[in-house]
Amino acid sequence: MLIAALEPATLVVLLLLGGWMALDAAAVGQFMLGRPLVAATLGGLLAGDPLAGALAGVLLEALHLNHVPAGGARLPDPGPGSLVAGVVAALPAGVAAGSRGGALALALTLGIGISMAGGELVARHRAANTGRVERALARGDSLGSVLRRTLALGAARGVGLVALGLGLAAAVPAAWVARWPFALEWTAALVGLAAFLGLGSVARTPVPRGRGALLLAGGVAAGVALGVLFGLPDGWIGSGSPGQAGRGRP
Amino acid sequence: MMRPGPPVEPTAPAEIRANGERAPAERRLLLRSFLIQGMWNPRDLLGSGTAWALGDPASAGDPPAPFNSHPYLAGVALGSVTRARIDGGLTPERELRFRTALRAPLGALGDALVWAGWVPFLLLLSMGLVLVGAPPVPVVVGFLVVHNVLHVGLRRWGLRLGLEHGMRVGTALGASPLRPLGDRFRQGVVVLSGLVASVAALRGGGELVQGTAALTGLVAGSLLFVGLGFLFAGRLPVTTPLRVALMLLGVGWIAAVLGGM
Repeated sequence: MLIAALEPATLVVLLLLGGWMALDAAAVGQFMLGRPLVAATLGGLLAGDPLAGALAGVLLEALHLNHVPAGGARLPDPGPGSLVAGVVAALPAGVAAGSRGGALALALTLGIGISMAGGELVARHRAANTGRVERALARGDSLGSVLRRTLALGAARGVGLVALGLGLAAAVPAAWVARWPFALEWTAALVGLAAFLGLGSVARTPVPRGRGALLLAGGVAAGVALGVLFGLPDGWIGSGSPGQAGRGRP
Repeated sequence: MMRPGPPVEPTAPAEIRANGERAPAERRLLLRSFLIQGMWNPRDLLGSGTAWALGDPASAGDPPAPFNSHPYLAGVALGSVTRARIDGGLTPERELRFRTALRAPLGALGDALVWAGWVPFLLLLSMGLVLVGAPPVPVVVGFLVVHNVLHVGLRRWGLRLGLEHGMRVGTALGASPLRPLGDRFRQGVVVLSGLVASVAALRGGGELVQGTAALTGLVAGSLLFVGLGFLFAGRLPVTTPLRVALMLLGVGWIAAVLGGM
């Protein structure tokens, strides 16, 4: 079982964080605790390997970065799913099952799936808020009481999504994870293709005088120059704990 | 229907007037602005949250008026309405027109500065740092600190701007540096998108293939996807990268499950 390694106290913290992240997405503060990079790194930290969580977080962040929550746009809700992804990517059981690539694949699949399901639930929750306000005012309740109710429901959504994610991770047979066909590096590269699409999409943000393509090309050239200057092709994925499997090994 | 609030002064302005200082009411409005989206709904958008933050009475026969704003700039509206009520002469109809006039600039400015500006800028910077080997926990903590210093600062600045200028806050907002600041952040976002993509391609590629030709091909192929994302942004749903990732992972899972049969 992939989540058997988690202490009960850690599970409770994860559930509470899921509730907080669901609220942080829009209802309370928007301190950005539920950004994929933050949530997945935190999940990895709680599971004992922040670097593995961060790898999942970087990929999930690139996939979500083009979402602009303007005007009540209907978008995925990445916080609880990314928290689960960070935990699953980091769990030592991923190694025990023989595949860090499989653990990352499971982490990303759950992270994306829960993020999309969370977005759907947020849309329903917001639609239902109209009736909640109307009914409360008809009963003579204050807006403060409606607010407390909607926040409690929002927090419960986050707790439920984290519980669902961890439950699904536990239910996936370890043999499936072990048989995942790609090594960690190739799994990251596979999802990286979609992440590159996301980065290109982010770069389409309106800039003065419409010089987006020029600025993007400048950024690419600067990245390549920095890479060559600092010898970037050596290291990263294979140098930290997520990459202990080494090149080509599942 | 949809009356924005009574012309009489609610508790917060009274506190401001009685004490000769705005601190207690300002603090309360600032804290309530953090929860202003808590009752977001398709009928009045931020209207219920705004009415709650201002302490306006609401009932079935007098529901909150619709209102919308970027959440970080909602304090501009809270402050200016509060100030206008203190100054007097604000009829419900005039307040409704004023709030309606604020919706577009507060939404557009905040979206351009925050959601399309500093948030992706700081996240791309953080992703780049993780990619070049910086320890992720300090990077994430740094992101949260810098973002929230800007975030809370903007909320506080907006509230004070509104309290100071009242109904003339539109002019003050137009003269503020928010728009050019947003332009700079968005330019940085475009540059960082390319930079992070090429660093990721080089770092990841170095782990996958050996030899300059193979690495060059892999990096070029990766950057082709960046170009596709750039070209098709706006024409495809924003969730396209997520759906493509899910599809690719799905193919792998089919292989994993069928591989054992």
